[in-house]
Amino acid sequence: MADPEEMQEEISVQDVTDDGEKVSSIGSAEVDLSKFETDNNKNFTIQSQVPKICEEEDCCLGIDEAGRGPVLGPMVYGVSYCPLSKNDELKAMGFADSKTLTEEQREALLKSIQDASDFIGYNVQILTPSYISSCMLGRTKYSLNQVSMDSAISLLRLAIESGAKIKEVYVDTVGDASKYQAKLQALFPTLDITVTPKADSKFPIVSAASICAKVVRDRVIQSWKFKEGTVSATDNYGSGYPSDPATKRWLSENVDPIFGFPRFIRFSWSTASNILEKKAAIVEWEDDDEEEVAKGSASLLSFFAPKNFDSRKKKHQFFEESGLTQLTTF
Amino acid sequence: MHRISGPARLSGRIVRNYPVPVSAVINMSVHVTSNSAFSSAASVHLLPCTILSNGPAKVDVFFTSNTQEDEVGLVSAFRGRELRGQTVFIPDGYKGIVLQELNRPFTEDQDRNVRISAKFNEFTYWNLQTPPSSQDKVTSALQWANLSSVIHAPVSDDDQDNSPTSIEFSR
Amino acid sequence: MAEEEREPDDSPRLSSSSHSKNKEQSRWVMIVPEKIADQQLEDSSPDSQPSIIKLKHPKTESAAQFLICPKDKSIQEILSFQDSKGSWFIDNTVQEDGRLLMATNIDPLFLILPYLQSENNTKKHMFMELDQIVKDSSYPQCNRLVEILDHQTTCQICDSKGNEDFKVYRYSEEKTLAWLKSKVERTADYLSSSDISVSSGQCSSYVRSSKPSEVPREDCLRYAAGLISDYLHPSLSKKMFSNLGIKEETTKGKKVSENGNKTEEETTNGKRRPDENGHKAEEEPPLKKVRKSSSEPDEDYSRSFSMPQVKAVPTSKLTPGQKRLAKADKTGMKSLSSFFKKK
Repeated sequence: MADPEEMQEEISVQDVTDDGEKVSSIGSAEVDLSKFETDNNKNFTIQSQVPKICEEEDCCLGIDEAGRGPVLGPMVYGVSYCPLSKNDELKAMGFADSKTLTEEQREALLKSIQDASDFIGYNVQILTPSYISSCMLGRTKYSLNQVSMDSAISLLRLAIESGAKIKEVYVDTVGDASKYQAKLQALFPTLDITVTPKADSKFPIVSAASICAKVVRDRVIQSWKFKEGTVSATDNYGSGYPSDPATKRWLSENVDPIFGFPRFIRFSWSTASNILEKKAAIVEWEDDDEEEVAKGSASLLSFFAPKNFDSRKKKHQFFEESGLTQLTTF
Repeated sequence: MHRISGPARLSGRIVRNYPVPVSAVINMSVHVTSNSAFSSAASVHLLPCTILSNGPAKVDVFFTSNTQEDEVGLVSAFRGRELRGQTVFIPDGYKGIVLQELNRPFTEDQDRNVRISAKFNEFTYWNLQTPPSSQDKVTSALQWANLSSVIHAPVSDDDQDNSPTSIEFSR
Repeated sequence: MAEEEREPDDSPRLSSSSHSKNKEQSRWVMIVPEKIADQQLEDSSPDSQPSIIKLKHPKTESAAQFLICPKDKSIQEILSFQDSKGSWFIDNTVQEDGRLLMATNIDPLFLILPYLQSENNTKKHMFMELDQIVKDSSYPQCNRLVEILDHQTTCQICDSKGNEDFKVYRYSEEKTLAWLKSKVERTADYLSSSDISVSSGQCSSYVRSSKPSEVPREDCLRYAAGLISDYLHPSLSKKMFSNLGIKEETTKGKKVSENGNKTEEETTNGKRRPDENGHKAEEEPPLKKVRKSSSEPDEDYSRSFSMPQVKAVPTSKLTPGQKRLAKADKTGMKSLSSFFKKK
């Protein structure tokens, strides 16, 4: 029904949930976050269409992240890729480290990336503050570095699996560059991988990735829909960086004595947990720190062998296995 | 809101203290009375952590609003930690109640009055990260409801006559 | 909110959880038989209201809480379910105490048995009125048991004399053992068709979900009798087991606590039986430290498993997961080593 010509003209970007399900398609420079906003606790991946030329020619791919440090909002990972033969055109687009650009410049650059959809592709993953918190506060430690690397790897994999002929990979460093490089090289032995600090100012394709990530993060924060309802996104929470007094003040003023913060906040940041320690009810978990565990095991022992232990107070196996005890006082 | 919220319900009428002859009471009783009508069942969650607080909490605002269901079950979070939940039904023939004591007497030997301030037929059981399963102690604890009724039902003449092999309870 | 402005110092959260609980507690989450929850309690007099009372537990002979309902002549024991950590959300409130209390019917005959038996022993087979038998100055509310017992039921464990207006009773061991036998068999029948794992031994929690199709009758009977002996004085429990012709399961724990002596197993591997008497339990913390030191006996497998774990972590601080792993190793070893040393 639609004219094939028109279809080609359209700069189409597909939204894909992390389950790999294609959910919608968007046009123009807009970043459609509506699907993400239905459950902003869940990670979300935005995937552009793979330019035809990227399936035919060897490509370079850049990986960068935005929003690693802030105590609130998502961390966003981006990859962008284009044929090695288009390197000069890429340079001409005027990419630079997203941090040195104004918001308007970044928006304009994303638009030009989307306009160059005939040779630039990109994938962006939104790692929600809920996800980051639960990873870092999980039973088994999953560090931010690990989370970051896994996101980068999954985006690279996604680009390869969707058909782009990736040859060279440039990554802005996360932690120790050589270790990261070794890890990536082991996973992708056929790729030519460069992990280096400040990659976003050295390689235009990394700059492009960093712009994708940064613009998406800004959009997510601007349009964040608080499920908690009580807090509005227009409140001034500053830059989100722990050092920003506005951010600190916002956190201090928006703490709930039981729940702490809306899930827009990364509970795993010490800025957040320090405020909770002062202003909210204490919460004890089974797997709390060293001391608590020691206390816990002591109380477990005293459960089995209290002072003046009376074997007649020992209940049948069924009750012990079910966590049931006789109520002796009310 | 179509449902009476927790705090409103809890600050209802004050229960009388029934006078009890002091000489007779060495062990006090706790009398159980009830609110008149319950418009709906209370929403009840058992969390895998101890929150050192008693009182109002914006459960709907912070918790229920963020609770989702996926293939495995319910997902939510508390204080940044992922929780996995499942609805636990109160065994047949039983009901969940919340007992509330409004005025606790100053002395130990006085009778006390508690009242049923809420009822529920199910609650949500939450685990830290791990989806709840039949391996959780709460599952076997609730088996006690049926098992105890078998153990403690009065012995009838039928029971006495039965041969050891007869199976009466086939569930 | 007021809570936000509260000074940290005067908030209850600074107190440790488990011990201060009862002082401030004013709410309890409980499961009760439906008919009690749905009773019209508004206008009832205190005497006919359900009441929570303290009675002597027949097995432990110490105080336990019971819910008595004169209207339907029933009595419930109250058990408390608790995970290591827990709190409740009830509508828009939080409750620190995460216990789930379960009020389940208890056969009142279990509760009068100790009184019948003691009267029997002291008064030499005299027939007496029930309210004279069930009398206890330490637990005065035990007389409320008399209200909920009927003649026919009481006669299942008693001989009786008298007429409509005046009945006297005397404990009958023979009847009691027959009554217990019926209960055990009925319970065993239920167990054999339930998914409760009745197999003996430490790994019973393993097999809960995958129950073998055919459970030996004796295992069900033993498990049932074990449950029921939780309501009996140990002397009566022994008689019940011998009357049933099954061996009371001699778990290792019971053996040790009965003779009170250290077994070879405990002294050699430096481990403690979980259910030893008090003064040994107090020694636990120093022993735990010794276990971590280098002068560890070779047969302590928990060390050889857990030490590499520690070394593998460069920061030397164990993650919660690793700590749990280390703990799991130890408990696993406990059963394993005692298994090998069992004679």
